Amino acid sequence: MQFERELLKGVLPLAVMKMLRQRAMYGYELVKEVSTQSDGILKLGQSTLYPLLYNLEAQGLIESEWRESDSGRGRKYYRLTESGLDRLERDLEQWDQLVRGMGRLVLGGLQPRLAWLFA
Amino acid sequence: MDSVSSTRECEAGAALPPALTAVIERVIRGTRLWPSEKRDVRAELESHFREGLIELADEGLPLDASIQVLCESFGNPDMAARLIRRGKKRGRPMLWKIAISITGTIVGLLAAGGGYAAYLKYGKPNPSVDYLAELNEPTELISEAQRAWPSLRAAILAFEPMPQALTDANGAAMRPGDEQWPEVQEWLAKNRPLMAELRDAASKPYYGFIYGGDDTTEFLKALAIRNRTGDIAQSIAENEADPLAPRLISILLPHLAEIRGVSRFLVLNARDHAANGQWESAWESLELCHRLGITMFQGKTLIEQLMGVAVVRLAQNELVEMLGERQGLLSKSELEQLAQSQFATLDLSVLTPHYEGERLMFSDIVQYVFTDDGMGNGRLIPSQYARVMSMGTEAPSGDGLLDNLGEDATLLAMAAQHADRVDTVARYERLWTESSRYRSLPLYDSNRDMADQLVRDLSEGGDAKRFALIATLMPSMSRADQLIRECAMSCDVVRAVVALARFRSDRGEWPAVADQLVPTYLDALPVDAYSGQPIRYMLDSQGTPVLYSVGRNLTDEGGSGVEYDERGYNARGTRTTMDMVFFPAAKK
Repeated sequence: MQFERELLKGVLPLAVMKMLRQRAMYGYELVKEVSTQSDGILKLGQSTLYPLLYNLEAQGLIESEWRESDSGRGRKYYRLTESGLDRLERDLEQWDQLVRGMGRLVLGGLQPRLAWLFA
Repeated sequence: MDSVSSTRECEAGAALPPALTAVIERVIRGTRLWPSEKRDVRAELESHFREGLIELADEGLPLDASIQVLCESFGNPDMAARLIRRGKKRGRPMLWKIAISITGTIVGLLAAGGGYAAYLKYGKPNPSVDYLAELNEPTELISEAQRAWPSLRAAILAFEPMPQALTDANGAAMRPGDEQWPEVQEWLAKNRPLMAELRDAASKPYYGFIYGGDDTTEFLKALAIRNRTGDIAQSIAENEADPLAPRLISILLPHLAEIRGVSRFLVLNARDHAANGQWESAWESLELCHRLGITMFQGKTLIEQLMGVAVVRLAQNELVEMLGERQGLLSKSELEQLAQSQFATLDLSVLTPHYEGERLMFSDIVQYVFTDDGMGNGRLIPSQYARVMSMGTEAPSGDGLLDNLGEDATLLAMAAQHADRVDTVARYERLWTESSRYRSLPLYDSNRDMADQLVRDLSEGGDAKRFALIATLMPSMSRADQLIRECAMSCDVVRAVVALARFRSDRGEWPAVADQLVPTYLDALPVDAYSGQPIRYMLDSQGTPVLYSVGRNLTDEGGSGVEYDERGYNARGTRTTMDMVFFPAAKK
């Protein structure tokens, strides 16, 4: 599904940080994991991913290191920092509120019976 | 090569397929990052594509298809390059960011300052009014037969200046009987043929000097030939031809110094005649000098008016001195003749200062020193300001931005702070109106000092830089006005001195009180400009009359307290600030 760019703007950093909370990942892996774990709804364009990673790194929310894989290939792994973790907690909370609010706004009047799902 | 073996080569570190390398190169080139940053991004993108190739090969996709999928899924390389650049720059060290910020600010300021400096420096004036023609217009309407200047011009060009040796020996103060008097007489004899031209000039009702133009240039050239200063004449002519030189400030009054020389001749000539008992000739010479001063006073510039005042005072002082020294030697008819001369009959209203030339000069300078936006406003042009300030002293500075850098920087700073054309003219008008109000007060009114104070406030106060042009060009009109009023008072007192001489001649004694002169010898007593009261009169211990004003300190010191040296200066080397004694005259 193609999302409006402005809608994705705030979501993708959250998605990437959420992935990195699970474990350190390299770029290509992140692309795949985001797609897999979002059931293919979110697709990270690779031209978007790396600038996003560099921005998060510049803000000190993630950090990177080159490691050698089992096959001997060099990969740059990213992991969440302490401040990244704090930020993720805050953003998730906000996201939760946002989804609830939007759920009530969008569904509350139309399908009252489904509203409990977002309560 | 099958897809799997190709992929394995990639995995083993061989070069990526050219299509993917091209994508990476395009991204890297577009980032314009530091080399180390580029290396890092390149390694990461290569790693990304290798992972992709292996993953897709594992899924059984042929190499060509894998390359296509990876290229398509990567997105727009140019946009990636821009976003990567932004992200990487954000991650650069804080010191670098500060340095860039400072550098950017400095470069910005320099660029803005440079642009503003060029904007200020390279403005051009657009003079649209011929103020010189405006100044000359009334004179152009007068026929040459009524103008004194043609005869005066001829007299000046034929005039032989006092020999340098006599000038150095203060020849103007010499008197019959002095050792060098024969040399003075020799000089007087050479110039006596000029008397005919001077009489002719004195008989004309109008001064009639035309400012600037061909006549003045020709006069200058003739004067330069006489004085052997040809180069000066040429440089003056060049200056007048300069289209950027304000015309009114570049007009020259080359005859002023000559008038001074001629007036000295007339006074010394009168001294010589008086020594020989030739009173009629003496009176005539002094009256010509007096008339010359009154004629000069018609000049439209303040300096001409002040020169006129000085010449009038010179003639007056000589007359009063003669009357004081030669009592009893003058016949009744000679005194009657004197009473009919201009000394005793001058209409004092002719000695009213007029400033039209000064105002036109300011307007003219404004149109040459400011740009013209077509709506009456404009900004100060530093090079033109410097030109006006250096008129007659040195050549204007070069036009290059880097010529005379220090001077240019000062001028540019001055121009940046200076008010625009509209504000400058408005401030000038306001200052003129306010100072005129105070200037017109009587000389004894203490509020009159406010006229000068207003100018001082402008040149020394917070607005000094904003209105530097006005502060520089505004003449001390209060002082000029004071000198002119003193001259008018002096003219009035000279009538009283002539009246005193006639009283003494008729009655054999001086009047005990000044009122005795009225109405037979005087219509009314002169008024002391420094008190508003009749001029002070007293007989000293020797019974000699003293006529005096309380003077600039407004205090009556009894007509004394001033010790003059032989040149008429007091012990402090200045003219008196105490009583102004008109009779007996101080010797000069």
